[in-house]
Amino acid sequence: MSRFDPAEASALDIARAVAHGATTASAVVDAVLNRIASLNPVLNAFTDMTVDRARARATSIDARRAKGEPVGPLAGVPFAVKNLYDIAGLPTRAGSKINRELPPARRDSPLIERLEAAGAVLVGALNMGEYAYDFTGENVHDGPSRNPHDHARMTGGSSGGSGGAVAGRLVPLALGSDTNGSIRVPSSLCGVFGLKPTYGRLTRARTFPFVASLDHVGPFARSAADLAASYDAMQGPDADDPVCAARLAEPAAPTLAAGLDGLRIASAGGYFSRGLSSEGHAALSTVVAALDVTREVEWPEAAQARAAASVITCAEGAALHLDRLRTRPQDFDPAVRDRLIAGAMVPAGMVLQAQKLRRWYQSRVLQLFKEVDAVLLPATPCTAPRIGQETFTLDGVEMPVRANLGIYTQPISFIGLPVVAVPVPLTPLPIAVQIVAAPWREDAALRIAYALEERGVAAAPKPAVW
Amino acid sequence: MPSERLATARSVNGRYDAQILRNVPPPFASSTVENNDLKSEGEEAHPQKNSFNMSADSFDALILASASVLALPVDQAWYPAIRSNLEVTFRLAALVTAFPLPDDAEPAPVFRA
Repeated sequence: MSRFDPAEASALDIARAVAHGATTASAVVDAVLNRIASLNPVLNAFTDMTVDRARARATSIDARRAKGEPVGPLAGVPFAVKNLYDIAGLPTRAGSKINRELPPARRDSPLIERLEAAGAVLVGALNMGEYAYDFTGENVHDGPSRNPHDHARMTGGSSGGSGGAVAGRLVPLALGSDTNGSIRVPSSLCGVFGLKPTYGRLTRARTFPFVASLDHVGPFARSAADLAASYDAMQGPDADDPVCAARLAEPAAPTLAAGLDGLRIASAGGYFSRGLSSEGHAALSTVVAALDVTREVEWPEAAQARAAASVITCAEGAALHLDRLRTRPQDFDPAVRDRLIAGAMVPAGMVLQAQKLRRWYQSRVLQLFKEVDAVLLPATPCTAPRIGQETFTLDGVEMPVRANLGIYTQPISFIGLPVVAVPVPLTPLPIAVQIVAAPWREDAALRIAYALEERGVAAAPKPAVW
Repeated sequence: MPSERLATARSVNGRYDAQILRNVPPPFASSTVENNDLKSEGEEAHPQKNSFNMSADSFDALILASASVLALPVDQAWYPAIRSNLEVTFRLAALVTAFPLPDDAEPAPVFRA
């Protein structure tokens, strides 16, 4: 490129430029820190900055390169993490008022360690919905994260700061978490790529939990290649997370450009077409046409799956926070508190039945993946609602925004399937499509995402407001 | 708001008294819930099977009793929101429990030593 712009550059562009000496890690980090200082007062994506640490890290990378030492595949790439990831020296607030009184974390999350081992540079922590029980990106303690495409609109949540920071070109890479859709919903509303890997693929050690049996972690980026590169850097077993699979890394980047040959791709109607806005239909139709998909499969019992995920979520979430609800109820966001208190009162039999349905549903969906390799589904019912908007109209019925932004994401994370959310740059606001694959087949979903990008259908649009 | 009967059950120490449950009437036969969550074909397929008593009074009684035994300091002003959340969860749970599964269906998390 003739003029290197760290704000618009992809993570891999930055890494190449640093590795080849076209720029330095220090110059990239300084540019990013200046941009965050300039734009974060509007976007409210960051809650903490790690300025000294970032500059020291960048200096170290530049020194290693000067000595001819390897600097890693993500050399000098600035990144940030949802503030439920442990960062040494900071309390892990998890979007709450209560947790910021905790002692500072003594050690980074292993995903931060792995990204930094690949040369990336942590620049801060990102805004999120309180304790991740949120689809909006709003937070009563830290204020709402704001959508870079329209500052009056939601980012989606709960990884709202992650979606906003990447879409707003504050960082090329961010980490979030996804229990019922908290990576895919902000990916859709902010118009960026998001990966929710298979349950157990990436270690969740030293992140603040929400619903242990549903919690996933994963990256946001502005291209499929950046998503794959960061995902590859974070894979691998970890004894500190009992759920993390004992599987060696299965890198997705090497096959990213392999094309679509051999991949059987389908769409699904039924549940996934009900409540979908005209924008959602347009995005899905565009993707289906670009991939020349003609097959439509019947996804089994998605409504029941979504219902069961909701029951498990409220009960497990309430169990996690019961002591805090007893001792400090006034320090919660009232809306989160009241949901959690209700969850504490859900009979055990309902939760157990939901777990039984979960296994039955998994067996049915896995049957489906014997016939296809990936299924295309909507990510959110609509584009970004306004901040503070409490209801929207789906299929002519007025419904609560907060509870229904995740109607299409919940049935998928419920059984831990890998998903790439690909943004379709509609005007004036983007919206994403989910590419859902069989367990452990992130590579297939990423290949399709890359192909859509190559065909000009999927892209993370540049905000028009600056 | 919780019914007047339940609202008067608050004890002097700010917690609710489970004894008031003796005064709660038997379950109502019909639901009074107007739920705004997205409905689906699946719900229509099993409209009443395994349905729960969804009356406001029943939920208020559940809140009262649960708050007492769980030692949760629930303020009266929070009742409408908690009840609304319970209504949503119970309606979703009805969809789950109405779905026919065999008796030997295993729950998803299976412990292995």
